[in-house]
Amino acid sequence: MSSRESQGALELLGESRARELPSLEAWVAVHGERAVRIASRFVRGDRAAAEDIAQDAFARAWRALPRLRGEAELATWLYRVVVNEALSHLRKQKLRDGLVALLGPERPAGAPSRDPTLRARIAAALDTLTANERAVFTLVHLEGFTVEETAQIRRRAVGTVKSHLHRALAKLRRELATRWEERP
Amino acid sequence: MSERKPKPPRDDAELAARVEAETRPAPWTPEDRVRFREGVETRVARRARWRARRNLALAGSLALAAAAALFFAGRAALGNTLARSGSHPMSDPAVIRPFKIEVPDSALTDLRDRLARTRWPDQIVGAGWDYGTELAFLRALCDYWRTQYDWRAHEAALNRWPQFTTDVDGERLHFIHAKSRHPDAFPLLITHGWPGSIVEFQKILPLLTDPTAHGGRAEDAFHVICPSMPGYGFSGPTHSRGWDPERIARAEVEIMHRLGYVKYGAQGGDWGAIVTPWVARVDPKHCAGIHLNMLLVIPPPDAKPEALSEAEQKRLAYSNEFNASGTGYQAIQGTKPQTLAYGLTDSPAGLAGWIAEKFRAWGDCPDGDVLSAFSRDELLTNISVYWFTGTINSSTRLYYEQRKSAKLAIASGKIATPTGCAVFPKELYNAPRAWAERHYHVTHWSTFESGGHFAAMERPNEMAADLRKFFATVR
Repeated sequence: MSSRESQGALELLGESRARELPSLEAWVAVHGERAVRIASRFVRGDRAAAEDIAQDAFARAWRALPRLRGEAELATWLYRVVVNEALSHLRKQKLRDGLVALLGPERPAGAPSRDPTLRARIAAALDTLTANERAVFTLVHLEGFTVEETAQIRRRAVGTVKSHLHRALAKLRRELATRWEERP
Repeated sequence: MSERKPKPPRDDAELAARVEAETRPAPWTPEDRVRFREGVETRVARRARWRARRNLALAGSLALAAAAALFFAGRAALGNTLARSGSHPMSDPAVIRPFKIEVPDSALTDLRDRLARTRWPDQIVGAGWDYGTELAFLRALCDYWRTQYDWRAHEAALNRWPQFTTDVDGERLHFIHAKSRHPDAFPLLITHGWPGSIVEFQKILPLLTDPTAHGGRAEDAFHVICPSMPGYGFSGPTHSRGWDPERIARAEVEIMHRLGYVKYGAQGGDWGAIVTPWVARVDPKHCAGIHLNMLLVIPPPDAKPEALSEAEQKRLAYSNEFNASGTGYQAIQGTKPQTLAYGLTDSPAGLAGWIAEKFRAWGDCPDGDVLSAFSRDELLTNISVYWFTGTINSSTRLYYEQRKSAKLAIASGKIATPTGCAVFPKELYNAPRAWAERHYHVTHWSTFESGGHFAAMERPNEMAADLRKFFATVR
């Protein structure tokens, strides 16, 4: 978008604070890959599903833009929608998994793993977490958000986030320790 | 499939790191980013259409009296929706398009024809290079250019690197985007100078993108982005005034953002060493470190050259000599570039004479033998880029624009971004470290035994090693 077009778009928003907000393209440039990556960690690397979730979140957040107070709030809102959509997708996926035959088509993988059995073990361990545990573990430990940022994204108290995080780590330790003791 | 049982993680951090590594998707390519943004735009437009239809349907279903009022409200809502949708970049200048260099045969024929018809000047017998580019050297170079030099082979070599164009600030910009096969590679923006081009980086690109094939480690890998600066090479001539280093830096930062890079390094020599500090200045949140192989500084008011080391004094003397006898080109390019351009745009021999002299003067060329530092093909590929793209005029305008804007990134306070400096002995400007530290947060300083102004061409291995070493501290 040229600076002229960008200016026109901002004027159309009719919000003085909108001048502090980025253009759609800049916003996608800054947050797009991370949004897809977050989503992909919930959907076992299914890239198409992850992009679908993230694109939908961007479109919804873009509509909500005039109501939001600045870039920081916009980003928090966006990641909140991504996580919620990803969790919703996961719930539906689990329902579907329960209905289809055990040997369904293999899901598309993300980046190839050096050890495919480890990837499968980790995916299975993550599936044992509750939605809240999985969300905070993903945001804090996999995506590098602080506990405070995670609390804002999840709209939970900091103490609650810490407690979910603690439980998530304990479960993963237990699950993976057990699984790593098994022969591949 | 591994038969070995994986070891349990030592602690929570290692556990999280393993989960992170095993759930991390492949990094985005430029095509991924474009496809993703187009998907978002399609959804935004779809939502806007849906809302417009809903507004109209709502208006039509209401009683007459209320409908009149709501109709106008609906119209207003529709108007706003369409106007906003229209403001979104559906025909998006930010699109990144693949690019291949394809010089038409007619341009090659025309070049050979012009070279064959060159009207050569005289030269005083025995003058050598004293008065400027030596006649015998240039005749031989142009003869080789006309009869043996194979542009198509070099065009194919350049085209081995993925190249793209995108429109920024009213200009089409060209860039190489050489992605490493190593997924954790660090994005590195490299900016050339004058009279250089992306040709300067052909030897260093493989070393940076594929270190494991060249004695390095996977964690040293870079994704390299080499823009042709606005007005240079395949970016084509600029069309507006004011393309000074700050504006160039902003355009380059925009390219990095469009590629989706949120943390990257930047490197530059010559004009690149003036643009690169601007990159740190305008994008400090995302630019994690800068590396410079030319150090232009504002000398401190209380500078005492006699207090400098012998080596520093020697380097300063070299810069002073260059300022005294080697900067005539800056004066003409900075004041009347258009006047210069007629001759250089019309005559390939004139262009080669203007550019080749700089490579001889600025490179580390023992006994003044330019071909000991650069091959004829290297020189001619770089010159050919200027020739075929017709960009010598717009390239020299950068000197004019810099004089006019008179802005330097270092003039408005110290740059906080970690900075690495590579000091090659035949570089034109190598400030003493203490002087550089007034402007930059210098965290890395390397000096080399040999090499000159075109370090990536002249000393690619040393330069690549230095980039790996410095950026390992900020990546």
